[in-house]
Amino acid sequence: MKLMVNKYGEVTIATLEEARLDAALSVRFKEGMREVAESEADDVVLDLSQVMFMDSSGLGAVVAVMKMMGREKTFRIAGLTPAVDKVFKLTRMDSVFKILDSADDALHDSSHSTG
Amino acid sequence: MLYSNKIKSRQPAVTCVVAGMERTLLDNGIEEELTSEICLVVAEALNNVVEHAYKYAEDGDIEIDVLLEKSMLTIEINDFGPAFDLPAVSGPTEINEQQLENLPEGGFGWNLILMLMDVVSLKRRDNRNYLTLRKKIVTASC
Repeated sequence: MKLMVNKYGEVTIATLEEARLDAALSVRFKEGMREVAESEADDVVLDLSQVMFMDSSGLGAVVAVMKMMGREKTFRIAGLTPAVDKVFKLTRMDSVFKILDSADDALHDSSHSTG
Repeated sequence: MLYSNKIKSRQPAVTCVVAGMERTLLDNGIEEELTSEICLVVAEALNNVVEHAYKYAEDGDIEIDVLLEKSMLTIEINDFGPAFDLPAVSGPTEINEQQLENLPEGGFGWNLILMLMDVVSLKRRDNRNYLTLRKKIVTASC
């Protein structure tokens, strides 16, 4: 599982460098993100722009990651490709995540702390 | 026959089937959005077999056959797991975004299958579950 974690000032961007976030990857993905959740990073963006396919196990893993981040950290997801976006919409889980068009938006946007 | 495969009940094998089907559907002129919906349904159906029929035992047999006749795509998946009933359509899960700890991490699979396919049927025969999924499709090159 390739997960690239970069810090840009206050913002930590975790980029999942995989084409598929499915049942076969979801456990390792959660383990990788747990390290980020347990680090001092308190504004985390998960960049999914390279993910072309996600099933409901993958979605469940992203939900689990949001829970790991807890209420103290800001957690956003970014760069949803059409197939991934559709899974969020069909399950209505798009309403519970803060979603950015692109991870870069987090670096130029100073109004992210919505409380 | 558009696609046919026989796999063991392992998650990486499911990944391979979904990737193989994706190529086959695109090669047969099925548009990208529809292809991704069908791949999602197949992944959910196969994950269900791995998780519930075989309970993660990795030696279960699963057969997948995909047919395209005229504009009807038929996917047949069979396994030797215990008999089960199709769940009723329950619609999207009610989500209360204030309750972070209670957000669902699973249970989306059947809803996605039922939402995206036109016909979903299940038969029990010779100790096997036969799941049939149908969807009317439009090909890009007709």
